[in-house]
Amino acid sequence: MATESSLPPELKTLNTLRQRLMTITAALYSLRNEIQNPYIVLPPWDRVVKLVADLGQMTKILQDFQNNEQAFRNDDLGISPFNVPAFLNSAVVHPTTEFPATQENILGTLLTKKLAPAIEDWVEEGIKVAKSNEETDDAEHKEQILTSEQFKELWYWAVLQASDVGNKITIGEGDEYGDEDESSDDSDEEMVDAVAGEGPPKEATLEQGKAMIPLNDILKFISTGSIR
Amino acid sequence: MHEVLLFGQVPWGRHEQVLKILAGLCAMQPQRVIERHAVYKPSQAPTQQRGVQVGGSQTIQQQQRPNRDRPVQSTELFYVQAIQSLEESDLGDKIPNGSETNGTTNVMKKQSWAMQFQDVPQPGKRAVILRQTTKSKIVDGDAHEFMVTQGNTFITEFMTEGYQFVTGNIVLNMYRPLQFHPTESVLSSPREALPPLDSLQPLDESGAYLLEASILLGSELKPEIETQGTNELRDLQARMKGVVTLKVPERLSLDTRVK
Repeated sequence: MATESSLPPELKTLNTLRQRLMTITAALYSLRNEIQNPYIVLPPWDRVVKLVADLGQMTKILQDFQNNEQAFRNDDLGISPFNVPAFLNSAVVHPTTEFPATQENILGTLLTKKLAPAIEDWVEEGIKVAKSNEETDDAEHKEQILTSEQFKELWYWAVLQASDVGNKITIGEGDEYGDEDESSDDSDEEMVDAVAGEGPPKEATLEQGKAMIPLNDILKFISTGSIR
Repeated sequence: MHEVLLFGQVPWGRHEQVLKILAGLCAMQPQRVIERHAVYKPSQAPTQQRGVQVGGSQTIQQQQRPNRDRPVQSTELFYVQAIQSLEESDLGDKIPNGSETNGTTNVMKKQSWAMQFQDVPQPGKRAVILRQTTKSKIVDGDAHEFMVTQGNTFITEFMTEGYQFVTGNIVLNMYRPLQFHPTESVLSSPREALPPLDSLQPLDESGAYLLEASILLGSELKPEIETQGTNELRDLQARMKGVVTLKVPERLSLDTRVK
């Protein structure tokens, strides 16, 4: 640790970044492995959720560090703050003379500044989302700033969701018909309430307060005399 | 005989409206149809009998054989139904003081029975359900005895109540199955007398009706007839869009095999 703390802050910055990136890479790799590997059973959903949450946390730590303008500051030891973003923005990659010439491919990769096209698209999209988030955060009333496109998107989503729920109520399709959905589908039930409140009149079928039996069950009954 | 079918569901709240729409579409008044369905199960497999010629023409047998995905002498058993068409007057009445009377005591003897067999719908992705069916009238004698003598055992019975329309080649049946009140003892034959219609419990407690659109294709199934029937049903499906969604149900929900 003595050597670590005696390093110049630039090297310390790079070292920290490297460690954090390695953690993220390892986490990403293990997540991908767990999902893609056909020889092992898919991880349970809550584990996937936890892994993704961890990843989000790691990314946040990394970003915080990258944006930290007062890194390594320690007033007790008299260490002055170090501006990480300023350093990162001005840092330039430069190969030393000792770099083996046989590893030209790696060298090329290391020196590349331009991102791959797909990644550039991601970055662009990310910046766009971040900007729109900032805007909506600035104004307190989110709804007023929804663009017409966002409105369209929202309604497209809502229509699909609502008709799905509507089908579940009126025709009783879907696997969770019956008692099972009490525990698992709380969110759906909220949706049901919402739909029932202003539901489309076309599907207003609950005159007697009961849902229709699924078509398949009725057909089973008329074919065999019982619903098994 | 083969038939092509599509099914839809009509919620109770809309059944009056749909009746009117169908009356307009078919240019006819709804015909009241009340039926009693007695379900029978064959007690033994019709083993060797199927290979042996028992009426019908040899050519039909030969044509059907390659179509079947199971051997002809299969041991699969199919439910058969004895169906009696009834009038309202055959059923019991509700007396104003709350009690009920049963209908005509000799309703079993009423000569309006028919025996119906429906095969499992043919597999494959189709725009409509295609299945083999036969319905033959039982013209004389005791229907239950007739069924039993053929080696069938009575399982259960239920009623259907609804309306029928005809347009072109299409028969539209809008009906709902009704259940009898459960009895303490297991019945071995259909009921002698029937309770009033109002007292029967619809299978679907919401009161919804089933809409069944079907076309009988004749005894010999020719591809062009099948195509024509399919197309006519699909036309109807398109015309009924927004009124009742007619769709192809899961094939095995119409499975009549005894399990």
